Amino acid sequence: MNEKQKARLLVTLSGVFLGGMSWMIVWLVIIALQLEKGHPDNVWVKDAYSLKTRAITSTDASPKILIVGGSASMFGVDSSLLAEQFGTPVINFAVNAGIGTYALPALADPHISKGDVVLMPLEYRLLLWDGIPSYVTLSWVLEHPESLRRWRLKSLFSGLWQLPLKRALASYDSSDLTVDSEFPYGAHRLNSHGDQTFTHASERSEQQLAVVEALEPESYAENLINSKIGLQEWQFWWRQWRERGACLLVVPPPMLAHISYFVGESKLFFDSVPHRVRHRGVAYKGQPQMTFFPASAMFDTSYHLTAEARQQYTQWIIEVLPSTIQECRVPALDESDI
Amino acid sequence: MLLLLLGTVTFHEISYRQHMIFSSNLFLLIFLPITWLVFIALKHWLRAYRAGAALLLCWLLIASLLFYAQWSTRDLGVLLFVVLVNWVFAYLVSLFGSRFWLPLIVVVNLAVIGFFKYWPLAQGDTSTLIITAGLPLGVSFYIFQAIAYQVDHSRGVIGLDKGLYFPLFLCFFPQLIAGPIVHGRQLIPQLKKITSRPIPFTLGLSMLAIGLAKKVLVADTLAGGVNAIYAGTYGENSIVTLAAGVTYGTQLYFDFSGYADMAVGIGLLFGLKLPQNFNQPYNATSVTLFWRRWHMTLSRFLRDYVYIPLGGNRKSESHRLANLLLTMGLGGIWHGAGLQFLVWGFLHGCILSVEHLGRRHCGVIQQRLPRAVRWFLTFTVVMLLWIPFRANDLHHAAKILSGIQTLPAVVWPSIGSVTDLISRVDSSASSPETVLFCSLVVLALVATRPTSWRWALQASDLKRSFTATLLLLLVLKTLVDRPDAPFLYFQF
Repeated sequence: MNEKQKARLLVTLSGVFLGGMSWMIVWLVIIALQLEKGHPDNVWVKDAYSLKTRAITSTDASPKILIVGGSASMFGVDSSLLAEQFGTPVINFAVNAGIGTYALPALADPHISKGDVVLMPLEYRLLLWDGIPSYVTLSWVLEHPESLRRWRLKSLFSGLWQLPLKRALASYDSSDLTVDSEFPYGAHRLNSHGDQTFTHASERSEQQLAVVEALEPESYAENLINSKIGLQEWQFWWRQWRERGACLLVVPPPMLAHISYFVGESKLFFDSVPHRVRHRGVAYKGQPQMTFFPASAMFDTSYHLTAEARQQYTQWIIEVLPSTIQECRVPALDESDI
Repeated sequence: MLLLLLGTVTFHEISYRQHMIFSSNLFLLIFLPITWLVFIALKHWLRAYRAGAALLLCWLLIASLLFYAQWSTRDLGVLLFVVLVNWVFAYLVSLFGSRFWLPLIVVVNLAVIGFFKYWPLAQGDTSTLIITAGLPLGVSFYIFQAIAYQVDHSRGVIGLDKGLYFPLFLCFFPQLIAGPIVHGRQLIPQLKKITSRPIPFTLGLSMLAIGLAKKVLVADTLAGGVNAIYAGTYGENSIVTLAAGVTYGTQLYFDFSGYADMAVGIGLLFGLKLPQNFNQPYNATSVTLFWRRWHMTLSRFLRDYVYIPLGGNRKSESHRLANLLLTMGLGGIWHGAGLQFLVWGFLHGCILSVEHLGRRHCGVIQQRLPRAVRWFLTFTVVMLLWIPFRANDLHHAAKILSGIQTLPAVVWPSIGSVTDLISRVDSSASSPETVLFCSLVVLALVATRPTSWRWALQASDLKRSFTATLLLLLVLKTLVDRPDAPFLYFQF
């Protein structure tokens, strides 16, 4: 390559560099200027967490059972039944798994104290997350950037690239930040324990059932079999909560069954979940296959139980919880008439 | 081994994804880089060898056929058939002269288009403007290229060489699917010197990037709103009629000229110069000038191989006008088998005839019309004539056009803020006013700018590489948010 060609190559590469940097800077500025601004996507989630936080702060009794997770738990756990069985306050602090593994445990952290039982029926993508943020996760973190300090580089770069321009610009417009009373999720649909209400099978529409019946199986075996970021993040929080004196239990979440989950790569994936969690130093009771439900038991998604199926799932939790409480040696609960 | 890699990657990717088009990640990040890098490596290593050129052409041909095959192996069969038949006939013309063989091969070529494009209509299927499973991709383009080659060959403008020149001329992937319609006399001499031709890298890359930006950032963004207008979502009124014409005209222009820019840019990356296909057609001050700026390679083909052989303007006035109407009618049905295409072409032919008569008999009056008035009339006519072109059929077109006499309930509702506009414009819920406004803004912006080609030629390497990088990142980012859509001219 002669000197002229080298000079041209240098000029070209400079142009590429400047073009790339310009794009990056403009994009970062667009994102930065709208951090912490409200967005309709997050309103119902914030409202739900506000209600649940009020429920915790208004509860004087300690210890308590705190349910941490996503909407699978919000729909799937009957906190009143648990409270009745164990004679202790139960708060369903689960809302939306979509806000992601960086944000969700951080929201529960301030409410976990010594002697509390933290029950975690975690959705599989929440538990074993591969670090690639979803739209919901990105939308949440834009309004709540405090969790960004925990974001790995993989998540940051992926998020920067995948964040839609529309979402980045949406917060600049003042939007209606109230929840419609007809919207199926939010504080207006929760009871005092934080459980989802109006989920009886009779309240489910034909369309909702049709949607559930048409759902394709999840591709967890492809995407999550070797993922580490989710478990690493949870482990960080689990260590803190254990040091604080809390009792931790992960259980499989209620989930729509598919025949493919019982064979091949999917079976291997689900079989590996308990071991992967225990390897991180936390108790895991049951097997994922124990909490698969048919479409008739699901309300509107592959993780949301009807009220009737919720009783069944909660009974199962009641069976597995005592042994964990004994293992954690939580005297207050251990002495209750179980 | 590289061939195996390219083939494996291509077919593995497409088994899980959509077909590969220029604006897809598969093409931009895998197919094109591999094809180009191998081409450059072969060119560098083999330039001293006599067989080097043959190997380079072989590589390009294989890559082109792989590119086409990933759409459909059946279509590949049709393409190879056309290549073989045309090569054989060109050989026969060389041996025995063109008197008998040339008309025969033209008929054979037209029969290929006729079978796939017009046979369904003859069978009574009047649904058009829909990509049918039966129409081989790009058949209208490469058949016309083949016809042009045969005519030029019979006139002695170009010879029939041994080797891969002819197959590669027909199959070269940048222009295979949607033009430009390249003549053998333009491309084959370049192929013969492929080992020594320079590679204007930044020029090619910037044309590719500009074309991508036109397609992905403008045309695809307008698509949702355009589709909603033609689906009848907003009923019929004068705003909807105007929007139907202007927004589709804008979408089509940016889609097609974007593709043309990409084709030119990709050709340049391989050291091959393809002809320009657009020259700011919406700046034209007459429909005559419009057709000298819109899809220029098709216009030239129709002029050189239809209009002039029919007699052109060498005979009587009425003969000339008839030639004009016939040529434009043929140009119309080239786009599709439906009656609305014939009507579209015919109407353009009528307007061209009127303009010709006007120049001949009222030239002074025409010239006295202010330029702005002439431009406005041309723009309005051309845009409104896109309505039958896009509509499902004549009835649909008439329904949309009839709305011109109805005032809308609200003359011009609020467009909203800029961020709100950007958020809504590519949605099928976008109002006709929003899409119309955006289209007019974009058209106004490009009307005062030089063409992509002129800009790229005049720009420095620094400007080109800066612009190309910026636009490519914007396009790739947009493709993350929105799936890649086929080019509109693929259906022709």
